[in-house]
Amino acid sequence: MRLFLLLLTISLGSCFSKEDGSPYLALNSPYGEVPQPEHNRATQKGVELGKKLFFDPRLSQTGTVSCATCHHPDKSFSDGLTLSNTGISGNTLLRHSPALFNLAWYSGFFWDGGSKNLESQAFGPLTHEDEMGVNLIELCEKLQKTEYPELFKEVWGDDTITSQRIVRALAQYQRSLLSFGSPYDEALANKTTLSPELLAGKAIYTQYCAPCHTEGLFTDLGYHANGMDSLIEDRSHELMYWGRYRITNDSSDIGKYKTPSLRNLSFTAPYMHDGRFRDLNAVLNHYFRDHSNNPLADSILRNGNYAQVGENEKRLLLLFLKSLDDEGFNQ
Amino acid sequence: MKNKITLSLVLALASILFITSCQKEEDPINNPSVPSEKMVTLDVHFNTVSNEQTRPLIWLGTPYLTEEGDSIIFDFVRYWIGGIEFVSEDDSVWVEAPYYRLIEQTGTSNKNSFTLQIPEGHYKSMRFVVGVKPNQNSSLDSIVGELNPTIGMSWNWNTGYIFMKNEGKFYNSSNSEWETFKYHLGMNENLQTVTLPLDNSTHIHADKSYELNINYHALKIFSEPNVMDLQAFPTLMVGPADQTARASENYGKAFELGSFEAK
Repeated sequence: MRLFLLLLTISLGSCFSKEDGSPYLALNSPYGEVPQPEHNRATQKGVELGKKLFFDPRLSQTGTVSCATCHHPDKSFSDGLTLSNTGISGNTLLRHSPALFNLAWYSGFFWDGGSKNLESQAFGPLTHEDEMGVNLIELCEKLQKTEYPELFKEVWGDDTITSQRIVRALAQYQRSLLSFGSPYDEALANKTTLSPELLAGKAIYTQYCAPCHTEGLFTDLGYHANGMDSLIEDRSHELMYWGRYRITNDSSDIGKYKTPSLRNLSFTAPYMHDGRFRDLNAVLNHYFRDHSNNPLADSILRNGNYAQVGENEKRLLLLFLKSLDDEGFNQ
Repeated sequence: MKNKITLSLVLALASILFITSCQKEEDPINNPSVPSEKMVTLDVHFNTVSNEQTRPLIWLGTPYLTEEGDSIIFDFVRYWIGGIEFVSEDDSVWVEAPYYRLIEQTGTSNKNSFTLQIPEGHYKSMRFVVGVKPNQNSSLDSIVGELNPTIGMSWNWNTGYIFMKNEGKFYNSSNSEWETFKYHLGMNENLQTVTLPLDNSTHIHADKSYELNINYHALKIFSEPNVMDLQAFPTLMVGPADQTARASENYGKAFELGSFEAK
């Protein structure tokens, strides 16, 4: 028996000793274990490597642009611009840089959900000529001559740098960006009651916002047309202006975009897929005043009596939304 | 002495366990699901051909006529193939372990040949997919064989591989101009499985090597069985869905057996 155990130990040990597979223990949330793909489960070293890569401008062709150029930690990893023009070309992008937190629950990335997972998504900004514009083959060769091989070895057992390992490390880091530290979360965790004003604001949220921005993650992870455009004709950029329709070819998806979370709104202005609203007042004006009679708007909006919401109710709603800010996450 | 023998035994057995327990990265190229002791070397060639008997290979930059009379000049033809299977006379199937290969004819690269090791036997047909099956097509970091998201044969904005990519020019008779066409075809629903009947008389033996020539009739993507309207739709990329489905059906039916014989 002892012989058997010794053999087992040697044989198993031989398989695991070459890589540090320590799981990344922080991947928990108030809503259970954070989802992650079997083939790329986060490890401590993997998340650390992903973080280093995320902030490293050497990942761009010019050596001047990192992921963090358009995703600032103090802005919930958005960039404060309507449309970014800080990529290697200086050209203005066509969609707003999204905030990055609680990403593990999504099954679609980019505003239209065309990218199916974080690993695949990273290839987009890395190679896009107006973002980081890097030649991935050259990048791997370049990084192979730096301090990175040792770090890759700690994660994967050998020091070969490949593009799929780069995107997997980036995905591990991005899944670790969890934001559940708002006053709302604290009240929930401590089982304390929200103030009467916040409760009144929450009631407004529940009636008018929660149908799409589901409590918890404050997004239904789905796609909706929120009535900003009543006519969509420009077919350029492979139907970039047609929302999720360009992905599904389903005419009911025309003008639909992914529901962003209502968490951290104080840090993520401007708003919407094209950043057209500078502040939350503009957003509320849209929902409670301007979207009416737009045939492309979701039926939730068209049938929801949004126009009856008054100024005091908007004030209470903004107070509740403020309670979803996670100050600790935005540093 | 007894301790030494025991230690040797432990180390020897441990070595065996080490080897067997760590064989998770198997040779992905030639790992038959139906084991056979005798394997046959098979050289496979995918030839991009025109419909002209006297000029079988597609020459880049040279005009060809489709069945519908459209003049076409190819700049390149590229596609993924995978899921290779050989069906025996008794209907048993040899399945290659998941592996994808890029076939291309471009200005600088004619990559159209590879070697398989398959069990000796008597095969009545072979199958393969043109494109990438859904399990590999859903995540660009799952790299199997030659799959590579860095060579322009994938979409980042709509995750998935481009199964078949053709670019070139067509002659627009309405304005007498040569205009660009781009056919970038993919999406799971457009995956094409090709089945080619093999010569029933060919029993392949391990003591010989064989050559399999498969011809891809590049012009058929425009006209057989679905006639494509190049003037109306010179560019197909992800969509329009009805057009990409028609073109994909065309290329799925454009492969035929050239030859299968001993070298």
